[in-house]
Amino acid sequence: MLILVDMETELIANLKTGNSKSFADLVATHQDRVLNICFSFVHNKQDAEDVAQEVFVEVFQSIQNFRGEAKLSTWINRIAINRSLDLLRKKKRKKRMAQVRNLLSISGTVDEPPAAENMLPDRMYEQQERAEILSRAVNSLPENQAIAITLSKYQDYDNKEIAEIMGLTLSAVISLIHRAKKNLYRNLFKYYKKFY
Amino acid sequence: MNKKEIIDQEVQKTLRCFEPMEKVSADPYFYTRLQARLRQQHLQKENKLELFGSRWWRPALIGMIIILNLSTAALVYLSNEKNKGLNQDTLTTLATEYGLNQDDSDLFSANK
Repeated sequence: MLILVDMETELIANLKTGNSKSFADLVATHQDRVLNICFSFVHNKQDAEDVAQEVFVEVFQSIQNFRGEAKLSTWINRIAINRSLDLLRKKKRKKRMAQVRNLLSISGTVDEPPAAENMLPDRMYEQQERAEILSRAVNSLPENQAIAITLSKYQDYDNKEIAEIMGLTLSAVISLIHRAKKNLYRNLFKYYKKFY
Repeated sequence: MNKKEIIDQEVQKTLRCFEPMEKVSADPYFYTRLQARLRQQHLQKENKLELFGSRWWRPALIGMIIILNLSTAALVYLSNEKNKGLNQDTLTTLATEYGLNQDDSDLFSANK
């Protein structure tokens, strides 16, 4: 354990001096985890790769400000979550603009949520459809709840790890996940009610 | 089954889709593309710096702009103060010289 801490301290020190080999090692160690975190938020591999690149650019540029209060991986995870949420916000803004344009009949089309009657009979497509509905429901949750439930359910992090990443207490995370589940149920119930 | 139960079943089915996501792995060129992105950002930063001079010249540049602004303001203020001292006689002389004190209202009546 102590050896690992020492290695991390050394890695951080090397990164702060701009050592490119250390940076390459850091990217190699964390790239898959960062990519998967981004993917669980943005649900698209291309977007996830773009966000992951931005994450490492930010790591490179702000390593001088890293004070070592949290583990390096926790700090990187936080950046990954923030950048992913930024992209989601940007997408939401674009969608809202498209809706306004559509209302004013200027131009462009709006991504309508798929209607239940359009669902394909095939089971695989049904599963995909459900996953899509669920992901939209998660994205409509308050930000903290969405982060907690995404890390818990899609990334399989345990509550302690989530607490570390989000800078919260364990009980706060448990409560967040509980509320997120409740809100998800309510939102999905409201969604399906329209079709029955 | 009543309506509520059917909806509840649908919701439960959807919530079951909550399973750890398939793991994705980074592109083999991930690091190469990252390096290119970093290089590009570094170049953009350099270009910006060239526009405004280096970090050490920036305070001098800002100082010079402030001094220029202050001296322009002082010059304008001083010239206004000078103009205040222009007396009525000077104004009358100037007006006569340029014919500004002529009464042109009866120009047409003079031709009658």
